[in-house]
Amino acid sequence: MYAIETKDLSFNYKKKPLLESLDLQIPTGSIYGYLGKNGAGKSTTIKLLLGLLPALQNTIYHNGLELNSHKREILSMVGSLVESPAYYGNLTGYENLLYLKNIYGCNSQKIYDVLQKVNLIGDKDKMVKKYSSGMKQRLGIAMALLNDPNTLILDEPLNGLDPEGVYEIRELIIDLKKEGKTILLSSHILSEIQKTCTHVGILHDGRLCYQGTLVELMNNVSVEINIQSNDILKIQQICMESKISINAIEQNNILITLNKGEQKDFMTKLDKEGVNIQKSESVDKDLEEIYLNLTKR
Amino acid sequence: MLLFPIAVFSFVDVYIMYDSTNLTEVCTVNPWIFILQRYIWAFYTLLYPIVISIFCFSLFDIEYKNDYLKKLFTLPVNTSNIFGAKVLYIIMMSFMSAMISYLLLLLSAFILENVYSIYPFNRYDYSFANFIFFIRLFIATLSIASLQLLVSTSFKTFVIPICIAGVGVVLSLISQRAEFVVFIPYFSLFDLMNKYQSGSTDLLGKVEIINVTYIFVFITFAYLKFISLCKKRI
Repeated sequence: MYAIETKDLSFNYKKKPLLESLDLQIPTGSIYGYLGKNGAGKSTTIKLLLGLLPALQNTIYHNGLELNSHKREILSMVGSLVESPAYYGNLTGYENLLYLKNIYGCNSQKIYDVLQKVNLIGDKDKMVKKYSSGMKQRLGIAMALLNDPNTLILDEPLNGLDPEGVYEIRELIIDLKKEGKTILLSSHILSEIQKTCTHVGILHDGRLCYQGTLVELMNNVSVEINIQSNDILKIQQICMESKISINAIEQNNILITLNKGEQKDFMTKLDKEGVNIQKSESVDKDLEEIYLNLTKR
Repeated sequence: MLLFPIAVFSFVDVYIMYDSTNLTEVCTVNPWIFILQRYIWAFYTLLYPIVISIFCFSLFDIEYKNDYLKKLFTLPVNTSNIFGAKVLYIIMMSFMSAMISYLLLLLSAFILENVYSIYPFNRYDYSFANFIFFIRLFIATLSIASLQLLVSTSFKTFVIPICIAGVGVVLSLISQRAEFVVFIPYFSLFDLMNKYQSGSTDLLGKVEIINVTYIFVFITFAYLKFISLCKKRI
């Protein structure tokens, strides 16, 4: 069962389609990185998942429960931070959480636990309007964690955080995954997605152009290998047999392109065939390049 | 809204005490009417509607400013509960404000009679009339607050609710003899004093019935407006 699943989810705004036939599948216990450029429809998806925007019946499911018919039940199991954090500026951090605690009906100790988790315990009695933007962001995350949700939906949670804050939140997200929580993380910071997420969904112009594990994504992309050897002819022959494309041959160097997942097998094969390799260099593509390639299609 | 009666009565009491030091003659008219009409009611008819408009606007403004409506709708709470809480708060504040005004009038009467015997409040049994007067004040306040609730859900700026309050007061003031004036919610504050002066103890007159109708109509429209507004803002 998926923690969040959408089936043929579409959304139009003023007759303009913002999302088209979205089939999100967020596995339980995963950290799902939701990527897309500005205006791709990430925030719209998140608002639909939280019932902030109207969606058709039987298009959104949380842990198998249909959103429109189980909205209150679902919202009590979901924690969220949508766009910028919302708070009452004239109340302290503690009072903001106390207000939510009364709505959720949870334990008072939980307030201290979440403040501790986001490292705001020392500033709990400070008015929120006096908080820095990073502190506000952390308070937003504390608010999302207060009801001990199964699923956490975080829209750009790293906005406004300093490098230390980014590190702390990343560690916190990883810890939450270890607790068995499912996290949907929308972010522009691709390096953070690469460091944190287990699964990735890439949205482009309202359509999902990739969905799967991060490892699969990284393995399916091509990698360039520059091999320096005296047996260039033998390598060329093996490449032709294995249907691997050769980009260039220059004296003792051969430049080839293959899928990252095939790299290890190919190198083992060369070794078995007794090819004398003096030097090999591979140029890995990072998530940014993969993302750009996918969204250029 | 709760501070308004406290501020007005304190100010008026201090002024009367200061002014009474030169007076030796005992007040010959009904001191209940005299004090309310001469000193206090001008504040209630002219300033109180503006205080109500600011109060009602601030109930929504705090959530508009901080974009908190979005957060509220991701909580397991119904939209109607959120709106209902605001209406309940307005009702409570209107009632408490009217009750504080009532208690402060009694306190003022006690102090002025005992400290300065020139105001013989005990000579006039106005306790029931006073009570009815403040119940009517509660209904009038709630009617004005309901209108302001509707206005506050429609406009982002507090200038418009204050302007509407100002126009309502001026219109009620200049058209007191016109037949249509009973349909202006702000007129009820002027009408209160007229009825108090005449000693009328009827709780539900024409103005009060119109006001009660307004309360339901304005709150219903405000609710519908609140729902559509929330969808737009999200």
